[in-house]
Amino acid sequence: MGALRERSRRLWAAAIVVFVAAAAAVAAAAPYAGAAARAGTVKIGLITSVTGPASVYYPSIKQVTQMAVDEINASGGVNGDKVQLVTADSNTTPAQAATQSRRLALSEGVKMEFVEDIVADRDAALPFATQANIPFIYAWSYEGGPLQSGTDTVCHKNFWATGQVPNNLVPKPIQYLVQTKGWKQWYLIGSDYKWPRTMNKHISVAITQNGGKVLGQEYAPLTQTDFSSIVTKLKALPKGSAIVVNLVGGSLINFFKQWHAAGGSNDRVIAFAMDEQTLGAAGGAAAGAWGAYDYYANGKTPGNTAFLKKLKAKYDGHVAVPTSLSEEGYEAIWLWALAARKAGSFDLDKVNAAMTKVKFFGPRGWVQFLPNHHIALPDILARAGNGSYYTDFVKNFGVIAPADQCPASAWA
Amino acid sequence: MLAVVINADQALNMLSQGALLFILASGLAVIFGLMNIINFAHGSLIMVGAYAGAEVAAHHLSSWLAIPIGFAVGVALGFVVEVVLIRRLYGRPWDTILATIGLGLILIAVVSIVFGRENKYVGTPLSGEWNLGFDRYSSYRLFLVIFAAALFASLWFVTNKTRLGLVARAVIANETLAATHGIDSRAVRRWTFMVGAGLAGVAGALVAPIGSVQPNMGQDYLVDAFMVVMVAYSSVGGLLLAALLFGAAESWVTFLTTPIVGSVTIIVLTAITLRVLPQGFSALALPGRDGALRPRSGRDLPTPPEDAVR
Repeated sequence: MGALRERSRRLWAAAIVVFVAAAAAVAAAAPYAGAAARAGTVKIGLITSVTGPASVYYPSIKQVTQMAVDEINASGGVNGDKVQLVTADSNTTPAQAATQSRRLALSEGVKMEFVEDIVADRDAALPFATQANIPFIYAWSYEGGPLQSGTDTVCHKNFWATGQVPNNLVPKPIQYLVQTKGWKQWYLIGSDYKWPRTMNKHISVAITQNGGKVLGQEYAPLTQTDFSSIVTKLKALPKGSAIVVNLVGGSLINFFKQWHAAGGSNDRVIAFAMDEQTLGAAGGAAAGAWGAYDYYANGKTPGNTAFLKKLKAKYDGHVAVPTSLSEEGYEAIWLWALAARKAGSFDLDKVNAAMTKVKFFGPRGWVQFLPNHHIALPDILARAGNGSYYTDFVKNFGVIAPADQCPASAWA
Repeated sequence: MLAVVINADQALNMLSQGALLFILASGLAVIFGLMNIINFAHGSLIMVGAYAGAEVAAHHLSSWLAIPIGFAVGVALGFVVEVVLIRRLYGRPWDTILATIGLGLILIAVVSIVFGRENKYVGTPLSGEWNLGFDRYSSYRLFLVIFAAALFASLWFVTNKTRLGLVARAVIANETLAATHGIDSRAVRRWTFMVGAGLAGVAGALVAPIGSVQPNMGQDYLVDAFMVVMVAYSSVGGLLLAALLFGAAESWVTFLTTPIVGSVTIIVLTAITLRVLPQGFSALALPGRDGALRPRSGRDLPTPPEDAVR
């Protein structure tokens, strides 16, 4: 009995030592030491998929956001404080995005929160930023607000969007393809969630307004791996039919690989979520496919040339290719910093008043928030090359301002 | 838009999808058959096999090499996992299930760190189409059908016609009795786990050319594999039947309706099948003729751990 008690005592001692060591290790590893920022520092929070299915964009997001913060600090910081970026991982899971947002907004005390992640994670995170009365910037293209068949979760006065919405992305390219290229009959496919369905709704309207016809549409779960049946259905379409592929992520790659393997032609196929990372992973299966975006990694615009030069200087040797799903974080941080500097304060109403009065020259050229909390952006139709880049820039529709997404009362 | 209910292309879609499902589920079935646990790291093992294919492509080697390399990596990983983790949890099936879930997550994290999170490109060893007379169809997908047939034949042969298979079936039937006959049951379990992991690796290498390769990819294949293993329960023949039927059904429903409706086909069919045939398709096989991975003496669910002092 004595030996048993001695053994259990040793086990308890060992357990306590392990627990204390683990707790110390966790505390040491934690890069942030609690609620208050160090004197002379202001924190901003980023919620993104560091892990999870959408994490393929993180390597570039990490680089461009850190570059923005370093540039701002090198030019004097904001209102006398150095900016510190706190990145939180959503794991592409809304519940975790919510937890992280609560932590950033309510206990870390970040003065601005921005999200480069799927809309479900954005909607989970936004309420905590609203509760903390801080600006919230969504830095990806999305389905727009309720006035344009989008989501009404974004209609809060602290919400700002740097990305395209269907309204300033879809009409011009579709008009061109129907009227000038003669694509009269269309079939639309997409992933089964809000953005593809809303995009396809706008696309349907644009097609019929220009005299085209929509033959049908169908949606696949995000986890869909086998597209062979869909490919067979698409090959049975009338000759010359155009196909809109509003799939995202891995399923987009799967589709193009299987479409290409079955002999499908990309001459009349257009996708709207095929950034350079996804295009490269398809290994040439999407060559010739069309796309319309506000940003191309190989764009030769003055803004992008300067941006790429800075990226190369900072990360030479291991630059992660920036795409339309990463570079907006750079602009979001800069626009907020300029607005906070102009307002001389971090107070939400003062920063909000200043947000529409500053402009920034970045990878997409001059960007400035409009009174409707969105940005007039370039819209360029292009065709994919054989590798990771779009090589045939067919038509530049110029800079297009989006119509109001939310009622004006939302911004008051 | 659909004027036809089925055509030659779609029939071949259904056949090749069933074949692929058999390949994807085989590793899970081998481990379930012997150890009566679902290896929830199966999806991540498939992913590791796919990354073997990505590495082969990155080094510009022949894409065919991905298959043996995927198998070898799976076997090696299976050995390490069984010795370090699974063996210590023998007789504790619930803990083993938890451990495999954790292992799956660890594998995703390690691969993310080592290979990065981006989608990797993997080429296909066979491109183009074969002319079958009545139809032209993707040669790679037809190769998958041939591979599945060969895999089924090999599994059936090993289980029924080799000493290794006999030893494994003895351990499945009654481990204590088998041990008294001098069979090293621990070695059998270790080999079984290694083969199951190796088959998962091969499945990953085979699916990579028609899928996307990134650390989370394996999870998308896990549910369907899990379903057909549940239905097959104890036999290789049952697994082939379930995979072909259910894979073809999902493909056909997708063709007739939409992918969303199609995606629940396998789950619905599994529920119906298990309601009607609680022992799954193994109940249809005649005794002695089919390669049984488990005795058909009733459904042995894992029992919760006893509160025994060890």
